Amino acid sequence: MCNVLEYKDSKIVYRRYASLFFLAAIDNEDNELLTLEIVHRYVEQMDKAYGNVCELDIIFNFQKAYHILDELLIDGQVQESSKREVLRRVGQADDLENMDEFENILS
Amino acid sequence: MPAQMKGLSQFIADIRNAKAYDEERKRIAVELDNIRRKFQDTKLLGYQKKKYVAKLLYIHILGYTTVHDFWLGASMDLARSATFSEKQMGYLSFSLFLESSNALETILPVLEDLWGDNVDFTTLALQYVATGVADGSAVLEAVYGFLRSPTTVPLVRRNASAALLRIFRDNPELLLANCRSWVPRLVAVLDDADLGVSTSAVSLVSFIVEELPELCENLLPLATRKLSKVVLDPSYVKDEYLYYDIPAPWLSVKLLGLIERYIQYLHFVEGEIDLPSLATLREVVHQTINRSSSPLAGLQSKNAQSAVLFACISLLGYLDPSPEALASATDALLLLLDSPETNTRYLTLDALIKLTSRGGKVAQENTSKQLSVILHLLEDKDISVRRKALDLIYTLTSAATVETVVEHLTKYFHTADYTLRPELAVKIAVLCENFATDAVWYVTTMLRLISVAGTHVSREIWERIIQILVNNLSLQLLAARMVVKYLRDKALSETMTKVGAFVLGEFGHLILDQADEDANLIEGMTAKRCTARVQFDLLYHKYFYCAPNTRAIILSAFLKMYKRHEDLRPLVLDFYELELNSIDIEIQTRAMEYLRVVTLNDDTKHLDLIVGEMPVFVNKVNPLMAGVGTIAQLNAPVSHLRGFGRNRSSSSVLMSHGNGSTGLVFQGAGGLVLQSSEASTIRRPSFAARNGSSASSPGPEPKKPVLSPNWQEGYFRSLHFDQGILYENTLLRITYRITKKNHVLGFQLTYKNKTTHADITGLTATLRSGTSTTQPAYVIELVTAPSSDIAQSEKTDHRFNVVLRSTGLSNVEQPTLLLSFMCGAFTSLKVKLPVLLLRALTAAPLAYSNFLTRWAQVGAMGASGEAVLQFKTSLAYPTISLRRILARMGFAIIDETEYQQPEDVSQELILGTGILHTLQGNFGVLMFLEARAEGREFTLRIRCTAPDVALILAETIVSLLEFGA
Repeated sequence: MCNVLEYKDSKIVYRRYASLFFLAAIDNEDNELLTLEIVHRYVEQMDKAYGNVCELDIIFNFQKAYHILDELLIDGQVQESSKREVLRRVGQADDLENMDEFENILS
Repeated sequence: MPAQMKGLSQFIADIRNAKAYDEERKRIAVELDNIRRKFQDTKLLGYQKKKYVAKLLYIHILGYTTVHDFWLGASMDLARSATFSEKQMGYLSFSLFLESSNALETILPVLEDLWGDNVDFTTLALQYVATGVADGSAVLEAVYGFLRSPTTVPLVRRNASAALLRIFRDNPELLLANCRSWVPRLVAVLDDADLGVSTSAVSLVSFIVEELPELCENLLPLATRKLSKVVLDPSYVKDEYLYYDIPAPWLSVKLLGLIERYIQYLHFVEGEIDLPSLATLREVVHQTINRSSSPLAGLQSKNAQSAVLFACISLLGYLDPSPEALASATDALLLLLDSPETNTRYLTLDALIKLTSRGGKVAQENTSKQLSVILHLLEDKDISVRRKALDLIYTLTSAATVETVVEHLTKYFHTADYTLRPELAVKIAVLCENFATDAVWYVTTMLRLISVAGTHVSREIWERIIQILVNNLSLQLLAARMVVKYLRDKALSETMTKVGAFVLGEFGHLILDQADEDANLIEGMTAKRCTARVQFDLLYHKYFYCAPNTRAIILSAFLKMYKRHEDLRPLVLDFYELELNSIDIEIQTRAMEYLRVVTLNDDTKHLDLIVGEMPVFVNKVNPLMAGVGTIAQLNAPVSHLRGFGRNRSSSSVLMSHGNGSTGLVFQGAGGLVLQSSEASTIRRPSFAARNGSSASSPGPEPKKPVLSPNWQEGYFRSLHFDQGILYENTLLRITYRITKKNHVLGFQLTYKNKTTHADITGLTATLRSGTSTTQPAYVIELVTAPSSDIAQSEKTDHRFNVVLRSTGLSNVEQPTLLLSFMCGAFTSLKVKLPVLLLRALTAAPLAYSNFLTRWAQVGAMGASGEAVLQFKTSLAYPTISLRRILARMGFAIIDETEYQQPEDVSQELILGTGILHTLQGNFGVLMFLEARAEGREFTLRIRCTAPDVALILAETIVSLLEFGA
């Protein structure tokens, strides 16, 4: 199946991973293939960040999924296509959180 | 991974375990109640606030979007917390819960975080601004500051770029207010060494190009260079930016899109792509197309590679491609058509549509070779592919292929998807109308289309056919005959009946004498001729199978028949009487009205008034174009080009309305040609509309650049010295060398990095011609472009030639040199270059006696050959230095021993002669300078054999002497 649907003035690009669907609505002049690959990159990075990601990971830790997305895409624009950089940012956030918790416990 | 928030996990688990909707709702209600109570506790810990806000968010994500007001306080506390995860939750809740209208106070934590020194917090704040929820205009300067400062870490710059984009999008007036100084700097961020920053900046610059393309002069060289590094230099892109095997595909595609958009703008203002950029872009496109044939492993690589390929091919159309380049591009695409990947087939078709509509004939013909393959794709298993294939076929069709294509498409109709059919019908109709060379063919095909497509034919199509029939006498008889044939068919679509009723009503009388070949085949029909009675019966038999609106048309047709054929009158009257009882009010009304009209008087006066001959349609709009579907949405230059193409091809079919007309004519009402060129003017709004408005508004005026401070010294020096320093600041020195060769001035500019501590990177040098574009007085030809990077104490050369074409070069048309580069911070320079008529002067020694003779000869030319200027200077010029200056300008100074100096010793005479070289021809120049008051007061007389040149030369000399040489 083609992963692109023209809908009104936009295009819907979707991709399915097991039981999960990822959808992106893009403008007509946007590049469909690369949108598909953004979805793929997002999934890859969630996979790394969560460690073998599954649907439940995303549900129970949705704020992290948002964080990864914010590093990758902001306001519909690709921000950072580097694998490492996004993961580094998300990992850093985890470290910070751990550190904060540690401090909370000590105080 | 950090520990979970247990309460949150439990809550999510509860909801997931809910068996029914009601149970879920109850659980949520309980939780909301709980949270509301908790938030009343002022001693709540940060962690607890985070947990409860997270629960609220989860409820929100589930679709319970009712706005609660009790969370804002807690979220504010979270956003101002010193703990990262709490702050993150705070901002996340703002961006999900809030509408921009009530996000006013959320800017407070943003302000704190932007000014604070915690990079992670700054990043969160910037990301929040980039969501556009909070009003970012309050933090505009700070955000811009991050992007501008070279010391900001890439992470922050990247997010600042996104935030700035969002602020500008929401408040375009902020961009306008700051554009002059900001835009060149923002464009320069494209070349940031960090590819993440670069990627983010492309989006921002793309927005600026839509708004203020005239200020993005440094864009093309910068973007092109970045693109070529990414695409062509295998060592430039680090591993982490490789997407599978493809270097930074997002950056490449976005850059290509940006470049394409900017070139569209250049075309629009009739500017030109500078040659080095053009060459680089062609190389990038060429290499990408070549690479596309090499097989890659893995879907991801292929997708990314194809994405870059499609973007390149889309750009190719704007690069004045050679026929070979176009052919190789179409070939590369055609190869991809039988890819097993549906997405690839789909996008290949899309790319082919763009290429064929922009690439003109070559691309079209080359693609047409594979017409059968493309026609075959109409049977593809995927609907999106089928739709695109149809679009491509539509753009490909030419007069040569129209018959094959239409034949195929008409047959295809039966198997086509229901959703595709209306569009298909419109496309067939438009193609027929555009390319038909044969009237019989046109009518046959269109009627066949209506019979085949039946109810899928939109109102516009059959109305259009009627317009064309009414406007073209030669088609009417044929149409009437064919309609009779179709009406014999029992299983006829109503659309056909509508057309049939109209045609027989209007033109039925034309075929009364025609033999009715099929008559004996049909039961109950005995007439050998197509008499009025036969026509009446045909419609009458259809009448009761039709819907009211078709019946109404038939009723009207009968009225027309009534007028023409007396023998039908009783029949028609009976019929109308019958329909007085119709249950449809419209039919009943019509029957009543018609009956009254024909029985009102004995004569037919009223009838004649009402049922006159159908007037010619003068409406210029072709109703079909609205239905052409996605094709009509293709961007401006495309439809523009297509408009031109069609214009030519359809001109052969255009002819005026009239009885004596022979040959083929569709004087369609207006016609497609007009329509599509109108569409093209409407379709280019973003540049055109603004161009119009900027003329009247006090917006930025690109024509008068503000020059860099202290530009004059170098400029005036360059008016008489052939080499020296043109400009200098603390970072850079520009030296020049000018060589004259007849009408060609050779320029060599050398840019030297004066610093000993920093490299200059991302240098772009743009020469902007100041002469008119239609009749340029000079043309600049680039010889060698400077390199973009200059190491410490190193230099680079920039060579170009200026060809003087005519003497009509006034003193305000000099070209400007725009330099921009990064050296620590972004710097840009603008200086004028000495391209003036005076610079084309070379010495031509003349004896004094000859000088006098020529002086008198040229004087006979009248006022246009002479200029006399009196002026004073603050600086005193000794005679000897005056002579040197004038000699350097290109005059041969007559030896003062040859003539008598005036008796008054305070006066000095200097005489000089020279030849002015232009492509237009060479002209003699005579100069007569009288210096008084110890070289402070002057009278300058110039005479020149070319008209209107003397004054220009004189003014240049005066300006130099007044400035101080």
